[in-house]
Amino acid sequence: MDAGEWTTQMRRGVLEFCILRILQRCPSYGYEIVSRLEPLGPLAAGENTVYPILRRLKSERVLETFLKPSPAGPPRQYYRLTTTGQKRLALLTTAWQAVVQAVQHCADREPDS
Amino acid sequence: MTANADAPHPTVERYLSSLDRELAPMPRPERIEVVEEIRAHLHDSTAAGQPLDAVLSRLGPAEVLAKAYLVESYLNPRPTGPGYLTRTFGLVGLLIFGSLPTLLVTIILGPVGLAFLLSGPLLLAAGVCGFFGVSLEPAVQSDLQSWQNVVGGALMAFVGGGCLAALYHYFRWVVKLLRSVVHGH
Repeated sequence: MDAGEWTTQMRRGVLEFCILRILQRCPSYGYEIVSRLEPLGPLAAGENTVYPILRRLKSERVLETFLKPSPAGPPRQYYRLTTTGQKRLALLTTAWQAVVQAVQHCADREPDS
Repeated sequence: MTANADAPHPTVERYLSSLDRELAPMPRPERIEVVEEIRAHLHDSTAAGQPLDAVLSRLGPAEVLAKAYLVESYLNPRPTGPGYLTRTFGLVGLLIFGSLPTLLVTIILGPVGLAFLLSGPLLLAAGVCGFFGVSLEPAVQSDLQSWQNVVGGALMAFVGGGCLAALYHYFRWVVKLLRSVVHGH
């Protein structure tokens, strides 16, 4: 297992958290969300991963959608957080901080024996 | 190769219809949303100057993308909306408060509708026959004038039909209500 595969596995778990964070401020649509994830190095996920996650989050009622006409072309489906989504984001934020702290401190000292 | 912003692009349409086909296990309304979303994605990407071929190859073959959708939904099954308890209470409440009105509506509209719809045309026929001096007695007994039978019969048929139509719509509404309580949306 090289670093690439490890990153892929980690990204799978973190991606949902990132999507919720992107939508935290204002609603957005698929292409924009994908484009915002793209430059983020290890978090850059293919659209074929992001779109199915968006759909699943919608069916879990974490996100809700509304249609907005696009300046040119077909109308865009915008996503925004529901109340459940805001709660989920708060939960994941706490969990994420705990994980980061744990990773930072896991090698601090040897366990007492 | 870039997609024209307005005209449907044959490659795009082929990809989307293949995606639609591969998503068959997904409920239809959801499937339409997915296909339209990918359509918008293809449009947005190509409008931003990316070649259609590259955009499509990043999305992957339609069957693989469809599988990703289905796996994502399958691994994380849809929550049942309002909790089991809420739905149970909703159903019990509907039965308690809905049973009596339904019983009343059924025993009033049903028999009245049927009786009027059957006897109305008969009375009308008796009235029409009366104009020609033909009596339908004893099948139809009426002390009224022929014209009164005609008008009365037509009215009764109309009221009877109306009652049955109202009953039909009432039951459709009840079934819809029940469905929404059971499915929780």
